[in-house]
Amino acid sequence: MYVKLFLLFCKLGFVSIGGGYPMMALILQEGSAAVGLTAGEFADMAALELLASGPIAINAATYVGYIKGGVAGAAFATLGVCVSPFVLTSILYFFLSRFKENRYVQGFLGAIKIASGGILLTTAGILSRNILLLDHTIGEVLAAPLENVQWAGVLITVLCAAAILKWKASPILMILVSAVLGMLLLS
Amino acid sequence: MEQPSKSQSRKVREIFAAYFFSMLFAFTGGNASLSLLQQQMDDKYHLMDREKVLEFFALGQALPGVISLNAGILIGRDIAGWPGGLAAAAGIIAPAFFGMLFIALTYNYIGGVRYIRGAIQGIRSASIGLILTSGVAIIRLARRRTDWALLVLAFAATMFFGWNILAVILLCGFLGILEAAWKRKGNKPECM
Repeated sequence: MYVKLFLLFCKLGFVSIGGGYPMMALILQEGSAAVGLTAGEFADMAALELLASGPIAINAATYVGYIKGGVAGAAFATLGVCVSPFVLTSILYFFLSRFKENRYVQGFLGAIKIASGGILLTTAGILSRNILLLDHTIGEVLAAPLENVQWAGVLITVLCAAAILKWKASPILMILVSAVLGMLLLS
Repeated sequence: MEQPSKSQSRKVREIFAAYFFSMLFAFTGGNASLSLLQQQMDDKYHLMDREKVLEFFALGQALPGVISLNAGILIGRDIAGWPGGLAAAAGIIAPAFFGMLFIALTYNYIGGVRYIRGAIQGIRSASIGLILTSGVAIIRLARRRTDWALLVLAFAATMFFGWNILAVILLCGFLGILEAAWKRKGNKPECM
């Protein structure tokens, strides 16, 4: 089982593209074939992942490894998901350190840096829908905005963004303030 | 911003600390750690400036697998070689691994405590704000019309058309290469 877990997540690391959320879809599909992951176990994982910090893919590997093979299983699955970053970044680093001054490499880097801005806005948009809209469709939200929007969450989001952008507040201070506000308003 | 006087072992320790700390509060996945990571790497430890952290973060998206881990290994190696890369990886993995185990083991006891759930909900809402500020910081870097075109393209393709992040990043990178080729041809024929 340890070997199976390691190989499953090793493979997922290489074939899943676009980060944690796309990987979650693959985990159910590949996990049920490789280690007998059930839909119920997957749903538990998706729920508990929300309470754990760090990259989603690592949370997922740890959880699936744990329910299928205990703490050692969790360690093997997590090691597996780390193989692709080490291998692929080594290849990339090799080329990057040689061609860093090349104008085309510079063009590529400049463009993807700017494009990340658009992708981050998308992430913020998708998270807003998941966290702030209380599981309703846009139509339902527009019909009854008072009940279907998590207004305390909106307040925290806006406060946090404004404090950092306008008043140069430290992100860590805003995280702690938000935790306290969450205890008071969202419990 | 790198201080040459810092010893290697100190750099490695600081890379671990910066990553561990910023990941510890990223409850919506690795993206949420970017603004805290930039603050730790640049303002606190002076290991790497904000824009360079962002550049490696973008590169992390251009590879399959765990994006933050891709970026972290590159950042750690750039600052302090392989020990730095391993320190960054450890700092990324540790909070996610032990945090998830902790939740799995204790959910029946603490999962129902409403104040803990409330605090985590609060931090998750804050993460949206943090990710927004990271996005705005990049928008502020946009100078030319082509930058705006890339921003809008990346946002629209992922948000409204559901394109995969990696495909969009590679497409935008390719457009960047084309632009570099165009500039070379148009503005500097003497370089040929």
